[in-house]
Formats: sequence, C-alpha cells, structure tokens
Amino acid sequence: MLEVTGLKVNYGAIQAVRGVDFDVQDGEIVTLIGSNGAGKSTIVKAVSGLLRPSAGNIVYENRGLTHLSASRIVGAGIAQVPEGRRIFAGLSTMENLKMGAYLVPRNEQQDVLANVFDQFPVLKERRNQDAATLSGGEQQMLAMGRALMARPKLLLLDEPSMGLAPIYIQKIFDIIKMINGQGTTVLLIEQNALQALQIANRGYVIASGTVKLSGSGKDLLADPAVQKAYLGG
Amino acid sequence: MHTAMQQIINGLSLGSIYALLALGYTMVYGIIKLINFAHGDVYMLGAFWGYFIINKYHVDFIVALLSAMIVTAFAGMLIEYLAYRPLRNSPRITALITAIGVSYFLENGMSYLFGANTRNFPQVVQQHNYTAFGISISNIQLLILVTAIILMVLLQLIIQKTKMGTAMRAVAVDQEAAALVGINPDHVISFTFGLGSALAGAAGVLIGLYYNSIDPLMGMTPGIKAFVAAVVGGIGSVPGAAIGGFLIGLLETGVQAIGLSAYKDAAVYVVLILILIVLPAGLLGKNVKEKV
Ligand SMILES: Nc1ncnc2c1ncn2[C@@H]1O[C@H](COP(=O)(O)OP(=O)(O)O)[C@@H](O)[C@H]1O
Ligand SMILES: [Mg+2]
Repeated sequence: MLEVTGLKVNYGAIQAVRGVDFDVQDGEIVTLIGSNGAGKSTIVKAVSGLLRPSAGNIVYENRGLTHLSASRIVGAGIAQVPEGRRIFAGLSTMENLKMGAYLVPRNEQQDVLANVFDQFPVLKERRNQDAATLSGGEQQMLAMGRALMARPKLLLLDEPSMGLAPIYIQKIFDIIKMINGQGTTVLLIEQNALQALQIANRGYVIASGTVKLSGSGKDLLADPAVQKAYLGG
Repeated sequence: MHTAMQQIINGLSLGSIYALLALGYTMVYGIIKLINFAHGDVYMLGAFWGYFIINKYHVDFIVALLSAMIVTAFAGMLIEYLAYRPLRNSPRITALITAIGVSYFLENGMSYLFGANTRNFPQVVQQHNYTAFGISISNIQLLILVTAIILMVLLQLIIQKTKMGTAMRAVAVDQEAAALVGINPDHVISFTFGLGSALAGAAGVLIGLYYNSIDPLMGMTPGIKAFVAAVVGGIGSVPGAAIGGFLIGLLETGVQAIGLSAYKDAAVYVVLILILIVLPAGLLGKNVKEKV
C-alpha cells in the first residue's frame, strides 16, 4: 500500500533522514520505533507532504506522493494524527471534527461523524466545548477522531501515547487495534516500543535517520538489541 | 451634555470606518502574522473605484459599494498572490518590508496614472441633517454606521458559521495541522485577503461620502490609525478590531471637540504607546507566546 525507498530529508544543512526504506501492506499495523530525534516525525511529515524529500520515493497505491500537496495526500486517503495532537484551539470539538472531514462531501459526513462518536463517546459529550479545554487524553482522542473524519485508508499516528496518563495510554492502543480491525491500515510512530510492538504486525527500528532493524513485532520484542535499547531490559 | 452626545455620534461614524479597516489588518495578521501596510491603500483603491463608477455610470450607493468591495477583494487577493505568497517561507521582516513597498507602489502608481490631486467624491446620497434634542445627525452618518454594522455582522457570520470561516480559524491556529486535514492554506489565506480587502473597499466608499474628497495618499493616515485600532483591540482578534476602531474614532473626535484638533493624530499614537506598555496583547488579544 505504501512503499518508501531511499528516503532522505534535510532541514537546511541537517540531514534528519538519511536513506530509509520501509513499506506498509494493506490491513497491517506497522510501527516505527526509535528514540527522540531519530527522524520518525520527519519521515511521516514527508509522507504527508509537509516536507519535501531531497531524495527517494514515496509510493502509495502505485502513485508517487513526493510532488503532491498535503491536502491532495489527504484526498488520496492518508490522514495523520500529528505529534503533540495539534488540535485547533479556539474551535469547538465539533468544529475540529468537521475540519477533519474537510474533503468529505457534506451528505456523507453524518455517517462518518456517527462512527467517530461511537468510537469516542467522550467527544460527543464535549462536542460544543472549546477543544482547548479538553484534557490531554481527550485531546488525543479528538486528534484521532479528526483524522478518522477524513475516512483514511492509511492512518499515520505520530506518538499518540506521548504525555498521557497510563489509563489513557492503554485506551489509545486498544483504539488503534480497533480502528485497524475495522479495515484501516496503520503506520504507528512510537517511543513506547513495548506496547507498539505488541500490537504491530511488523516494526522498524529507526536511529539517526536510518533503519537499524526490522522484523515482525514478535521478533523485535524478542531481539536482545531492541530489549536493551528500547525496552529497558 | 449635548456636545458630548454629538461627539459620540460623530466618533462612532468615523470609528466604524476605522473598524472596517482594522478588521482587515487583524484577519491578515491572525492568519499569516503579517502587518499588511498596503491595507490603507486598498481602501484608497475602493474610494477611487467608487469615484469612477459613480461618475461614469451614475450607479447608486449600493452598486458603488458592492462593486468596490468586489474590485478591492480581487486587488487584495492579487497583492497577496504576487507580493506575499512568494515570501511565505521567508523571514517575517522580508514580508513586512515588501508590504511597505506595495504600499508605495499603489500610492505612487495611482498618482502617476490619475494625478496626485484631490478630487471631489460624487455625492450619490443627498445629505440631510436630522436634529433632535439639539443633536444633529446626518443621513450619511447613519448610512455609514448601519452599513458598517451590517458588514461586521456578516463578517462574523462568515467567520463563525461557514466552512471557509472555520478553515480560516483553523489555519490561524495551526497552518500545518490545517494542511493535514486537507485544507489548502493558500486558498484560505487568499480568501482572508479578499474578505479583509472587501471591507477596506467598502470603507473607502463610505469615507468618500463622509469627507467628500479623495486622493492617492488618502489611505496613509487612516491605515495607520486602523492598525492602531487593531493593536488596541488585540491584533488577531476580530471583535477586538471592531471595538478598537470605534474607540479610536471616539478618541479622535473627542480630542477635536475639546479644541485640540492639531493633536488628534498624536493622541492616537499616544494611545498606541500606552497600550503597548500597559496591555501589550490589547483589549481582547490572547497573550500567546511566540511558537518556536
Ligand atoms: N524544524 C526542524 N529544523 C531543524 N532540525 C529539525 C527540525 N525538526 C527536526 N529536526 C531535527 O531532525 C532530527 C529528527 O527529528 P524528528 O524527526 O522530529 O525525530 P523524532 O520524531 O524521531 O523524535 C532531529 O535531530 C531534530 O533535531
Ligand atoms: Mg517525533
């Protein structure tokens, strides 16, 4: 479904991503794990069209993405839940969700909205509230709900568990599994390697802008190098 | 008491023009953090368009107003497209200096094409004065006030209730996140310039009716005052700009009324300085820290 080859991304003179290959197959949960500054966010920003690669290819359903605008990429079926949630403060929960469905025809929005409210009942309760007044966990659900409003085939999640209380972290991972179960392919970025690898079909370990290791979620969990570096064991 | 009431009425009608102008400053600032110094000149373009179409085609007030709004909306979008869009990722100071350049270009371009002389704005609306309780108000003052209020209500509806208005607010909060939901920020920014410029064009026609004279440099001082109004209200805040505009109008007429006409402009700048010292975020501004 998504095939990234030889991806390089620079910030001015800084090479943040230095030749990365990975792929995501239809229906999978694939995770990119790695410590802070490894280049994970840079990779998903390039996939979403927020950053232009200096080299390499990003192909989604046989279509090159490297020259498409961010909004076209959403239209092609890829939505992203950005790192740090980035909800629209000052807009209500409902307005945030409606913006998520910016490219969805109005007459189809009701169904999508009903589905998102099913998954995140708390958003329904808070629908008229300024999104900035939601708790951190609720904001993360809003960010996920907003991305789902675009009806993505591929959902990119950049550190959805970051900064959340443990009960929310568990909830977020359960929801990711559920979303995937309903047919959405997931590319999950995490520093929380243990939980990410537990729910992922496959994973890639990113360090210093390159892929250090890859394999099935199970194999990576069992790998001594992964355990030492990322699982605190 | 009568003079005070009289000055309040005069101040509100002048203030409503500043308010219309201030809205454009604040919307553009809110969305791309640019102080569009050419905004006062768009107001001048609106006045000149009104002058032209009324003299040439003898249209009525409504047609002059609406066509000026359309023309200046396109002018604003064109300015954004040609002058500011190529600088989107440049340092802010670059865009700011460009805005000053655009302002000079419009002022001198209009002087070159049509002459720098002051012209009489055609009076499409016959002036009548109504007097009650010793207070005099003209139909033109009422027209200005009512038109400005209608436009502000419409603007508020667009910003709060429409999809494009919601997208404007979303882009103002976080342009990258807006792009991630499928909004094309360029379209929204262009729309914002169009909307702000349309209000400036309307203000230009209204001031033509009120002061009866226009010239290519007419946008300079009101432009600066409206900018002050936007800062007073809290730059980036739409209701703030409207309130700031009315306050500056009241201040200016008040200073004139107590016999200090010569200092009416200075008073506005004193207010700017005081506000920047006491309330740097303005009356309704959010005290947002710069994002790094
Ligand atoms: N806007 C930026 N400008 C310059 N360098 C950046 C920028 N964003 C990220 N970087 C650098 O790029 C590298 C990768 O960052 P990032 O992709 O955010 O890592 P991760 O998401 O894995 O924590 C880091 O060294 C970081 O400092
Ligand atoms: Mg990151």
